[in-house]
Amino acid sequence: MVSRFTRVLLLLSCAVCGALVYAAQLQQQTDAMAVGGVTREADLQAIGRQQEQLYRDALARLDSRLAAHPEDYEASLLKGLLLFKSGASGEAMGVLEQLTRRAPRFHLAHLVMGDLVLARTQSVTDIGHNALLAAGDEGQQSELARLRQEAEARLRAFLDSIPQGRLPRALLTLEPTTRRAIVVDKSSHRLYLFERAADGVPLLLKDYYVSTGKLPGNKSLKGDLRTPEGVYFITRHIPDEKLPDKYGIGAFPMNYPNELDRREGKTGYGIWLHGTDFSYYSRPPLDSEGCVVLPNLDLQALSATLQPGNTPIVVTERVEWLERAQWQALRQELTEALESWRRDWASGDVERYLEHYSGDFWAKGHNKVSWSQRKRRIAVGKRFQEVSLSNLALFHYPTTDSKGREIAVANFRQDYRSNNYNGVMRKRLYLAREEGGWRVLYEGRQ
Amino acid sequence: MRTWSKPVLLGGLLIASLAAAEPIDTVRAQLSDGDYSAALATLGALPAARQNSVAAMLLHAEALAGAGERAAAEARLRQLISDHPERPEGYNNLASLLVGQGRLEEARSLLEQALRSNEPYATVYDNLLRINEQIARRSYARALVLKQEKPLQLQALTYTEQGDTQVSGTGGQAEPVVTAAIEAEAAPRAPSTTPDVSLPLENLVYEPPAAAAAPPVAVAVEPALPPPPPAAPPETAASDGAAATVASPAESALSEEAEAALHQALTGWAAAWSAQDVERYLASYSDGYSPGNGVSHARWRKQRRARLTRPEWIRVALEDIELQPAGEGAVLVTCIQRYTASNYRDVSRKQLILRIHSGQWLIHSEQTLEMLS
Repeated sequence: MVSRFTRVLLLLSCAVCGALVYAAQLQQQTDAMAVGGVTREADLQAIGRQQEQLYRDALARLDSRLAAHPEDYEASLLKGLLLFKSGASGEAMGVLEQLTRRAPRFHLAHLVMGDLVLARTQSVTDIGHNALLAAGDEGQQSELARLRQEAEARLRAFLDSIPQGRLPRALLTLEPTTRRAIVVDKSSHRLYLFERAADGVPLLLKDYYVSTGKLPGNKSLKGDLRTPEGVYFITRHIPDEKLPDKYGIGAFPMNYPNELDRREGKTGYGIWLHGTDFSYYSRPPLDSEGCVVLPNLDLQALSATLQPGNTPIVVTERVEWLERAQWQALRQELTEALESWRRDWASGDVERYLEHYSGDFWAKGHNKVSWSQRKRRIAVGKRFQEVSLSNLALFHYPTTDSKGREIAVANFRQDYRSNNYNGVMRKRLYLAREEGGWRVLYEGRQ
Repeated sequence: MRTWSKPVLLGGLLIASLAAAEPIDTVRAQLSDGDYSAALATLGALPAARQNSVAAMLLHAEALAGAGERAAAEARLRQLISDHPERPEGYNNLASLLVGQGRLEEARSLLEQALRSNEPYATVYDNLLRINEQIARRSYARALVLKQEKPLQLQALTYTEQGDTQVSGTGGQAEPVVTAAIEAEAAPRAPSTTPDVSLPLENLVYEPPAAAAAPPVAVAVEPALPPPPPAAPPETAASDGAAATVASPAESALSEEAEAALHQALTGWAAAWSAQDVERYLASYSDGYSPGNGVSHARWRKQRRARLTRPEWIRVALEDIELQPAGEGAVLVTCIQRYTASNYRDVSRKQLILRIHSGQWLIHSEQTLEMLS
């Protein structure tokens, strides 16, 4: 039984991850045709049945997506692909015909449509892989390859969908004023949109296909065509009329390079979340100069809920989805580390407070030594201090720092009262996990 | 003639089937009961001549396959095909046998052979393939840049009531069938439209069937080579299908005066843009100009006004300007455009089409061919 199931998975994964997007269709066709023919081996039939079940489930998921969002062009495309794979090419053709009418600039949809037509009389083993297109020049072949990658990215992301009830390690607590949070998975080319549920817990609303930098890997230098990985925030909104056409209907710049990036000597600027050139519906997976690019329709759907100066956008190579208990434990640990820092600060025991800071701590104009001197000096005049934190947001950094430490980011409002100074500020801390717990690596205004 | 041929034919069939009825029907019954060995025995008891009839061979192969003797079933069907290459059943049933073994490509080619076993069907099938390809090509052109669409040419079948013969004249209805014309709004990078081309007919001759032994579509066929396409091949049309009728202003070179005026128009356009002089910039375009993508002229004007005035400053420089007559007084311009503004910069290869209006060269279409940076 186990081995049979493994084979099903293998079949499915070779259809998805291998080069051939249509591959499973052949297998499926064989199964369908063999009905009433010569008897097949029993386990092959079982695989066929389980595969049919998988397709049925996948199609049902797509139908419910389409019921909720009739404009979900990706769902229509995937429905067409899955129908084709499961042997229902007539139905697939109907879906694609409608899709190409509604989204005339969805180049990938036109390509699949062409394949469906051709598959009636010819062998079409993969997207755009047929005699008619084989003669194309190099430019056309590379365009085909890119469209094929887009199809694979979309299909794989759909079939490898996240198990229910898991939470992203990157988003631990969202502050009450945050309406939405974004996590971008570069490996699957998905943008996950979360809303803030009770107690700051992120709740997955929807996910979208995105294009990222032309080259894989983490950005470190200006012009390296890579999309940076880290915890970022949307800084402003640039509307359509202020943008060249190639950015589509709008852009949301991100605060790359952030405090940690600058500390580590990363260069470059102008990393945006933006729309798609008006000539296209979508772009290939690896296409931008480092920006995260959404189809205009999708950007439009979420742009009203993005808040400049607030909305977090975590970019990561691969999202880590944690079981709730594991996620909760990490959140608890960081919340407590922060609370312990606050308590020791308020206590007035300056040496204990300074133990919370890492050896290579930095702040604007300070390192650990100068910071310690300043804090010791200030402590002399304090008779009482009250520190309270509110509007807390907590993020686990998607990469380690250059010293291999786990990093976390905390944003909060800090109310400070004392005998000689009162102040309210919005603060950001970077924390590093070191021996003995989390230590403050950076402290500054948001 | 037809009025009495039918009863005779039917009578003949009736006699034949009465004589054959028992053993073949027995085999059928045995097969439907799944009793393959009994069916094989019944078939084996037939006289040798009857064993090699089409019907018996088909049943024999079915019984062999049912009994698990796939190789023998396959051999039997292959023999049927070689004895009766004109019958589709052998190909078809062998294809179905092979599909059961996952031999899809072989099965496909057998089914193609089945269709080609009959000439008119072969022609119909070829035509179907071509239409399919053309429809696919149209989709591909929207997905990719497909070079030079070939107009579709279908072969025609004719049928005459008069007993013998004849090739009908070159069927010259200039009916466009499927050309790969692409709507500009659908695929901005797609090739230009292809002119319609008349459909050369391939004539097939119908001979009335001999009274008795007519298979349903027995047709004697005498294929003729298709006449050469009457119009000029569409590949030469540069940008505008309608221009094909005009003799040759397209080929003639531009006069020096025209070249100078064009250069002046282009530099004036870039200068107006750089000066952020919206009125002068917009006046470089023809009335009702639209960038495509369903954007109206008015909306385009508004967009351009916004885009020209937002940046603090703009510099537009044109390089490598190439002028090429495009027929009907139009000139195709390709150039490198260096756009630099306070907030953005890019370098692109552009294509413009200009036409002269009351002495002034105006932009009719503007397209970015590629982004160079």
